[in-house]
Amino acid sequence: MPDVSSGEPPSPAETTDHTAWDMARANGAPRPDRVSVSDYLHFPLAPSDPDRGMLDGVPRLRPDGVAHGGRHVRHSFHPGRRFRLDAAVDCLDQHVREAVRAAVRGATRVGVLATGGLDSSVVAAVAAEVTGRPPLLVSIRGGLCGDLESELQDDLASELDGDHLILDDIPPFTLDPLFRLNRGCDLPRGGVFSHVWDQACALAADAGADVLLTGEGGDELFGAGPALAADLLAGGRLFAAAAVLGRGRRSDDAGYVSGLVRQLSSRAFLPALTQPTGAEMALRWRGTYAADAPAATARRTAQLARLRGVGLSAAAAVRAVWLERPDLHAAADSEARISCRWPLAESQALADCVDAIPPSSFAPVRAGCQDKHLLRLVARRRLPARITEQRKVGVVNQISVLLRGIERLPHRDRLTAAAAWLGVTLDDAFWRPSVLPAELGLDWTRLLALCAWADNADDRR
Amino acid sequence: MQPEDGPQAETTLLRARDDVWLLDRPAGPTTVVLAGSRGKYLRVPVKAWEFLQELSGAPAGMTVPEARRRHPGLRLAWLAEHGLVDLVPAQGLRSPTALTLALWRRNCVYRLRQSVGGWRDIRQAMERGPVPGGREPVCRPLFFDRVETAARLSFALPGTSRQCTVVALAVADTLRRHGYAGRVAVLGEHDQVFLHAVARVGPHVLDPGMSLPQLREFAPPDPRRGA
Repeated sequence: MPDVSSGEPPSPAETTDHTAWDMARANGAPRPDRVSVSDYLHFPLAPSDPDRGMLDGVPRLRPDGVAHGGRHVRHSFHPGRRFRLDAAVDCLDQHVREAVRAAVRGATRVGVLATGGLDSSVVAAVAAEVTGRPPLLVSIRGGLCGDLESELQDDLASELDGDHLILDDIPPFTLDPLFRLNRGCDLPRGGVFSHVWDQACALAADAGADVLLTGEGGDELFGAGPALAADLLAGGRLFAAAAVLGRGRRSDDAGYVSGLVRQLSSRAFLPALTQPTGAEMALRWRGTYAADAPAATARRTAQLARLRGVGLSAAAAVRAVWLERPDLHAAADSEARISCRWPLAESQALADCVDAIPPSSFAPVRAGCQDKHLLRLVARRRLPARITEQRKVGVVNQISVLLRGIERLPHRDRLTAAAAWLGVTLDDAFWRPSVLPAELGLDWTRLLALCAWADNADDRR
Repeated sequence: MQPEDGPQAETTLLRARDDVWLLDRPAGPTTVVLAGSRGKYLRVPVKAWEFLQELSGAPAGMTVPEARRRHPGLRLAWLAEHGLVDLVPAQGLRSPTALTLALWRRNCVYRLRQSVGGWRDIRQAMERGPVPGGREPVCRPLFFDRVETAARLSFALPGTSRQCTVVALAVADTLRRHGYAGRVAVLGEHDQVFLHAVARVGPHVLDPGMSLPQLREFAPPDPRRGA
């Protein structure tokens, strides 16, 4: 296995005294935990046991200081009175401010990854408000975003009157950042986007920023997931529940009733898997862990039932689990040049505040309301409508741009040993992700990160 | 309407109306506009005329803080009361039930037609282009949002299809029946696996947002249609 550590500064994960790998080595040869690895591949949002690590016999080591705001903060917007949306928006506004303030504490220059979307725009606007000066905006282009997104990024920069750095030359795909990110790491991190993210971090660090914020977490907190339908159903709002649930129907038009039954039986957190061809390809990639899919479904159901048993709704349960695992969804700077934070994903108090809002007001299917409606209301107070209300239409298939030159990869063999250790098959389909639907690229990313993480096994065996 | 829904609320959105006619070049301190919905002429200050002019060029509308900052001293409540602007409160507006039922029916019809004729309807709709004489408003009227919401609501009714082609055909048909130059357009680039059909009226795109994109069809070239 080639040594990728020469001449590179240690990553934050490396500075930890006792990693999961060290503990596994102390207990003998490290082995993958089949249940956790299977959960990671199949249902990363809701593992069957959040305390279980990815190595056999080693519990998960939790990073310190990620979540803030305390647990079990109970909000109530309607103590015996009618629910008032403006009071809820005030509360959300305050918690978003607190989350951003906690993320930028001690920083002298704040950078924000501006994608042109709502989440990062809100974070940038609030960061400007909290710090008293416009943040440094970093945008990644080069075919990874459409013309509309580029215009929105420019609009945000002119609105906030801040410096705008644009990464137009997408670096060729390389595995180095993935290996750096995953060295000694408790859980797999990063993915197919890591090399681009590394470049953006370098750009921001060179410009003097010491913290880089993203809007990661906005979709999970404010987007209407399938769990919302169950809450609406429990609240007696049948038509609203059907309207939310209706979007999860099968793509082959198998019919409403069968789609409904499927949704209710699987609880449908991954609509991508409802596509038969997509599911088939995904299962092939998952290699030996594919056989665990039904068992993993049962484990996830049990986990959700346990979380609901302590008084959390399904949506809140997913949020609670997800918030403990932000490292699965966003890369970090592999060379530790800059601190990367996700304010919307890191605040438990914000998640609790969102959870206290009645489902019918959470994602209303009404004219003038779009996805992530509550966050949009927070944004309307600070940003012009052309940023907060702009519809983004169309599908940008980023995977094909990210993987330009994948056939000429000089270090393709570096994954082979790790994949063999995991028991994952790297067949031809694994190396041709660009011909597959965009959402399945995420599966490929997950597997890539897992292999990079498993590369540690060779050093520590 | 709750107290926070008015034009004074920060979260309220202002949208232009496409049935308001503005005089081209106002001369003097006031000018005349025609509010089509009320069927009457109104005399408004030039300041308000400038605001309406700017709003009609903003497809996403304008937030109340933005309007106050750019046009201080404007009486938004008066403009809304006389039907010169649309107000979208924080909790949104209801979509008419009749519109939902109409879209449900058309969705079922186009679903059936697609199962029989395949891509034929889409090809015909794309070749036909916009309807001559149909309206193509500069601003995005709130009616388009109502149509999108009605389409989303219609997905909850049995028998509908979520395929973007069927949805786009149903939406474009509804728009044409209301006098707009609705047409079907297919979005996609050469390296994309998915193609996405949407309804368009001039520069405005109508996409309910819950439809499924169509997989690209790699069909062999038809010799009867040339290379």
